[in-house]
Amino acid sequence: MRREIVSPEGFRQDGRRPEELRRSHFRTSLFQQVDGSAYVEQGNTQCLVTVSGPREPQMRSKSLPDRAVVTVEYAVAPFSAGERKGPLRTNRAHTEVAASLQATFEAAIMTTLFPRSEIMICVQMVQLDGSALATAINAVSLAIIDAGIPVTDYVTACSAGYIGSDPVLDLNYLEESAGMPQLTLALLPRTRKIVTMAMEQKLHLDHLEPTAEMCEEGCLQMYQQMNAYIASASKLATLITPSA
Amino acid sequence: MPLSTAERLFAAEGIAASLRIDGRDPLDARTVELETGVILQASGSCRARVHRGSQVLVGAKVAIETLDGASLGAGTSTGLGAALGQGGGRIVCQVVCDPSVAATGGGRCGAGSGRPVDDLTGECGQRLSELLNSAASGIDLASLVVIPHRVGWTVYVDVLVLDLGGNLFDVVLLATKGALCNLRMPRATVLSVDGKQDYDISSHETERLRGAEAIPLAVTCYRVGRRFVIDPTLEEEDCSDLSLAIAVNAAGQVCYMSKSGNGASHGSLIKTMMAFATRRVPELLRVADHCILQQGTRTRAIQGFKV
Amino acid sequence: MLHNHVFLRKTKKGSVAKIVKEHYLRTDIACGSKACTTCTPCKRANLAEALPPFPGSQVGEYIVPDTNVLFHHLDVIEHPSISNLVILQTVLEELRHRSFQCFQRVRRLIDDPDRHFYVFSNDFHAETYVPEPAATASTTAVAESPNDRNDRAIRRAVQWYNAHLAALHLGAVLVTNDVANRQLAVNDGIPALSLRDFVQKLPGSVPLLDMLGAAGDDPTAPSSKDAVADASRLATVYPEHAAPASIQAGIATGVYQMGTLHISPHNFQEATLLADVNKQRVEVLISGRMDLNRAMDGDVVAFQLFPKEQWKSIVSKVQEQEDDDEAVGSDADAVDDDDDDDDDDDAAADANASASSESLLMPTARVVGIVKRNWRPLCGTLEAPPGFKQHVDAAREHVIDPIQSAFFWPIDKRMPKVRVRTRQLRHLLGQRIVVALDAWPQNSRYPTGHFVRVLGAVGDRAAESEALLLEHDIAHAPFNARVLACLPHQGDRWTVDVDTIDKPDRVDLRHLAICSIDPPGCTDIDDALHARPLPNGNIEAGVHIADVSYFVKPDTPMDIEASQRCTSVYLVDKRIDMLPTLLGTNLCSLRSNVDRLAFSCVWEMTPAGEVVSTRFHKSMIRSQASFTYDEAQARINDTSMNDTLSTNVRLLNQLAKALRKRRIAAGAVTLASPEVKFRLDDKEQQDPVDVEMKELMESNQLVEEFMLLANIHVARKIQQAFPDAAMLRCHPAPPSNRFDALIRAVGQRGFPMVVDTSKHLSDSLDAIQLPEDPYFNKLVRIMTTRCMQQAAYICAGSVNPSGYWHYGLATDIYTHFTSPIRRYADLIVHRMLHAAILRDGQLARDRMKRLADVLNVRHRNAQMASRASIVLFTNLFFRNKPATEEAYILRVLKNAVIVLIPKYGIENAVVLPKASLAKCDFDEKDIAITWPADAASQTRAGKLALFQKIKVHIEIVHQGPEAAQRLQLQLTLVDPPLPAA
Repeated sequence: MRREIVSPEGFRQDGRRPEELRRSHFRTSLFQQVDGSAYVEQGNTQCLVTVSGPREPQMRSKSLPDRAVVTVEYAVAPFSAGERKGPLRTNRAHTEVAASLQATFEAAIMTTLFPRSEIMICVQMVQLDGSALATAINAVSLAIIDAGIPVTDYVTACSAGYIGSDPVLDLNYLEESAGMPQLTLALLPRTRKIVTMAMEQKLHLDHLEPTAEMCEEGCLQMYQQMNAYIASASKLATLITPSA
Repeated sequence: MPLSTAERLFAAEGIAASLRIDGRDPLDARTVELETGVILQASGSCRARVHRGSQVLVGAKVAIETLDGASLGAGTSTGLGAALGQGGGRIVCQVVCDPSVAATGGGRCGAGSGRPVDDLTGECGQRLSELLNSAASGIDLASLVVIPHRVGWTVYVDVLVLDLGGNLFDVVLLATKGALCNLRMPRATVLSVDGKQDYDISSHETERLRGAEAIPLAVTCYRVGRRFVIDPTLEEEDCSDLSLAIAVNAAGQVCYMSKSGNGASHGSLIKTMMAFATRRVPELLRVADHCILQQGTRTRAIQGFKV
Repeated sequence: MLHNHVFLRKTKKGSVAKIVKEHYLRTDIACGSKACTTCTPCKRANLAEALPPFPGSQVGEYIVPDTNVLFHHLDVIEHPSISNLVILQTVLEELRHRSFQCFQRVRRLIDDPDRHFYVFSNDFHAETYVPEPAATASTTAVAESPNDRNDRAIRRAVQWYNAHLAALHLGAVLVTNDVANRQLAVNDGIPALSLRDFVQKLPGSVPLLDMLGAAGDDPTAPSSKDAVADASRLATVYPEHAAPASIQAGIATGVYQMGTLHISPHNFQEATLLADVNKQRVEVLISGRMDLNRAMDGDVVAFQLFPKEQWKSIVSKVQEQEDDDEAVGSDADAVDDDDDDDDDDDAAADANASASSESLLMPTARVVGIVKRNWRPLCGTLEAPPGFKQHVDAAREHVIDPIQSAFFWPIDKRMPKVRVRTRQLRHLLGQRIVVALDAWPQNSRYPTGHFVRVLGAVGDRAAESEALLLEHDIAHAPFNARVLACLPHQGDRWTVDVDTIDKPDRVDLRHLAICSIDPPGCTDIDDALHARPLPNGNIEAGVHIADVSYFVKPDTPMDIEASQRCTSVYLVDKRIDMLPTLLGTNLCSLRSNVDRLAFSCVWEMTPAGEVVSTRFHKSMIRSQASFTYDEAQARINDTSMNDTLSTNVRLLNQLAKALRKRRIAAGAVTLASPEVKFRLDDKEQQDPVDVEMKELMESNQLVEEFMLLANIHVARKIQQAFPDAAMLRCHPAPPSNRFDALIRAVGQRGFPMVVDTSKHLSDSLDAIQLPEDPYFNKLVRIMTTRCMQQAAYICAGSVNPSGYWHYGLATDIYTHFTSPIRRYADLIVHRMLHAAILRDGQLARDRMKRLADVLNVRHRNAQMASRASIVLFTNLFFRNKPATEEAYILRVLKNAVIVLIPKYGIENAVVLPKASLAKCDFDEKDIAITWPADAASQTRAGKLALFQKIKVHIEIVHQGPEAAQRLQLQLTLVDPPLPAA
């Protein structure tokens, strides 16, 4: 028997209220061979990102004379979901996510500072439990900051769905598979400019506004958390760097 | 940037003088850190990180498969058929690289002149698969059979290489052992009605993989010049022309051996390597098993060790 | 705080998928008591501030029932004297799992502010959350079951409540009938009561105690003195039901099959269901008490087919559940003698007798287990137990009677009698009452149940009507205030505001000459039509359907109410509307000469009925006339009428004829029903004064053709737009063996009948004509209809497109679009079509699939209620005027014939007297009852065979308590005369 997404008591199946984000967890500087790395958990969605560059492009032909090229690789671990999926060489859905990430960060990174160079972003989804794109954007954002690449602002992202007559924030896998429309929004929090807006299902225009508003609210919450982490991490870094 | 001849020589001569780039002895290994139960979606998982070295994440998932199931691809069912024919389930291993590893150095290991990454992971997966599916692995493959000749469990071991820092196979095997000891699978109950058999699967993961504790570990010996080193860095690996992976169990028996590299060698060096491995691995097993079994609970815990 | 819930699910492929769910624990969940000041304020907090303590308690206590109490005794909980309940999330979830219907009933109680129910989300509360039992290896001896875990969670919550409320001088008490659970609670110092103990503490608890049934009774009490209990005890017990695991295994391996059981209306010990035999979908027979093994009508059962040697002849007999044999008159009647082997003897005899005619053998099976009970409340009467005397002692009026057992006879003849224990027996005799089933123990011949409520005296029109509606689970309460609040606030002064409504996608069609054609007296006009010639020689034809979806928006209270009612129900004396009258008969109804909103489907057609183009859009129309069928027919016939509307109607008729021809050519089957219409007198009483046949005219067919066309085109459109979720109506081909008997019988009359496709069937039916008996063709059509499957709503994504086929209409796709005022399916289709035009809307396939299932059940119920209503009025009609009429034999059974009386549309059994039957033979080959001439009693030789025209006498008999005191139509054979005894 199907359960309601939000109970009349106002709780979702995992105990959250409609406007609540999941627990999140951040870590940066995990690898030494790359310039920046970050690990983000949002609920059980886990994402690992490494950033290399700006550096000389591996394929010369790809370089641009006036700015840096951002390339994105996106991969999903075979054990990341409920059922095992063998690794696929070319997966259209993955290519699309990669393209979306690339567009997002070309807008945020000050690419004109590094002409004829490449910034390589590798995203590995370790576990999937909904809102994968939003988690990936948040993780890339932290990895880029970890790499010290100049950006105009953080990029924070959040998803929301619309069910019944109200939006719900930060969908998990079970909510996603209930077939409701899901909007993923990426924001430059300080200017509140939207850099990415992705939705693949139908949603009535009247409902888009409350959904987008809720997403925006979620992005700002995410920004608070990420900013707090970066602040504490850099403090930690200054404390331990001399001895390391 | 490819390793230059001078750099290569520097590394090789250092080893000849028992002086490695990072200051270790030729037969010294780096510290390893293990963390099990990291991936909830997997039935068993383990992350192994070598200090300033490779880092791998292993997720093991189980699937119950039927031979005559139309939904199965021909490839898998033949593999399953062969396994069930021999009275056992099977373990399917695959090693893939994180895109950042694959992308560095244009898909070649280390500084660029090394082997292609695909080649390395392919070899690693092949070795893992051969070892785990053999009787010498200690895993009770027969316990994976649900209905003889028809239905059996397949354990999928997926290795994700997060960072490449040399000596991949030893780390992968260690992490795989960690994941398989951490593995809990549901119980399959066979139901018989009027001679026809079907199975039911419990809704919780309660069963250990029998024999996972007995999985051997490996020491791969890399020949550089006239000597050999273990646990090489990527640069050292690049200098080696021959390596021999030797898996040994707790009783000191050699369970699996595999040579790679272009070089050829006299039996005497091989013998030395084997003698070293049979001495070294039981020692390693004692420490590693202690570490793995202590983490037998399904909570996340990180523990480092060094032999 | 965070926990992860991990569990596994078997996937479709047979493998496993691991599901990991996060579970957040919180501290901001309110206890729900209005007296509490410490909890986070909560709008739903609704538990009374102060409560009088129960006798024996120190403080006022809120009630915390466990799942079983709600599941088994919801009638008690629904009683208005019970309030201030805390419904735990754990309990609610368990209940949802066990019965969605129960869950919805509880939700309704929770929504009622006067009942002071509060849902406490204990699983999300940090202090009341109880972790799932740790996954333990199989070697460990006893793991905690999920049930035990839930009980623990419930106890934990009650404990928390008591600690939390102590300062407010309030408490909570656990109500559970589980003795072990109560003991565990007491051990932990948690107050706990059985439901019986709790109810006894309430003032005026006697009727409630009765509703408890036998639950919580002292099991040691000697019940052997109980005569009724004795009578229902069985010498041999029923076979044990297979455990769910072995049923599952059996089904997986194909040893068992699963299906929904349908008990024969003529024989309560005979049931049919559909099964796969040799890869064909056929009807399977289950007969006899032991093989049915306590399964009841509508239950989903697991069954096992018998080997072919045990298959039975399809010839059955009438067997009703009656203790006296006279009415049934069968020597092998195994109703109430203790010799249960009788059934098996009978079976063997059947098998032997008909072994010769193999093609007419029906596969047989036995029930091995019950997957899902379809228990519903039953209406009927109680039978006084032997030796019971009605007390007239006034002094005893206030004395509480001891518990007594009695048999309850349901009105529904397919249901067995039920053993009921009550303290109010003397008040209940002679009343129509409602009884809920509790259990059917293995060693009890009959199920046990408990009294729920009284409907009224037997024979009282209101009580009988109420029983009829209840029996068919039809919601008939007036619309509540929340629903009525959804109506336009202008009420009947609402008008179409031309300037503001839905521009620009609504098209103004008020200039067209649109008219509606309906039966006389129709107030809910769903559809209107128009046609006009186009300059290019083609014709534009339009169907305009009331735009109900404009008024009924999704998920509003009105929409939810309509989705639960699903359909308007037409009874002989009244109509139970799906939507409030203001909408149904006024604002939506496409009345003439007012502006109305419509959903239009407009075609350009060639004069030969070929569709050139189709368009759909919302519209504004102004119908120019509401014709009755007769009026429309007059305009068709009278070519001298040359006004626009008349030429319109004739144009439509011309197209309809062409359309009909195409449809028939494609293989549409014309079916027939023997339905009649009662004419009621105008007085308050509404007694039936006359019966008339429903007459079909060209104008009926005109409307029908256009409705079919609209439905087909809309179906195609929504299927394209929503291949996953579209709501369609399909009519599966009938199982191949259903026609066997009919083919043989028609064959004997010299007509071949080919049924492999609807086209062949249709052609065969057309060829069946007896010049001497024009009714014969209709008779065969009626019987063909009986062989058909029920048409059903389906969600397009849940079946393969080949399954969309509508057998009866011979079309590849079909839906219901044209009656949104009275059918919810049509309203959904309207929304789908609108979404398809706008390329908008979200449709969840699961939701549609579930809705389709509900719609199918509701529609069947509504149909059955209509039929039952006709039966009720037929009985009233004949009550004081017995008649003799012509009848046709539809079926020959061993001890009876089933006949149809065309004049009144009555179908009923003519049971032959036992004495006469003794002189008759049963002709197995021709399936006929024959008897030789008998000089002594001066009877001619005769026979009763299929399709034979006979004369029967109709009268109404009042039946005793053992037949639920219903009025029963009794038919006796007049001609041919039977041999005298």
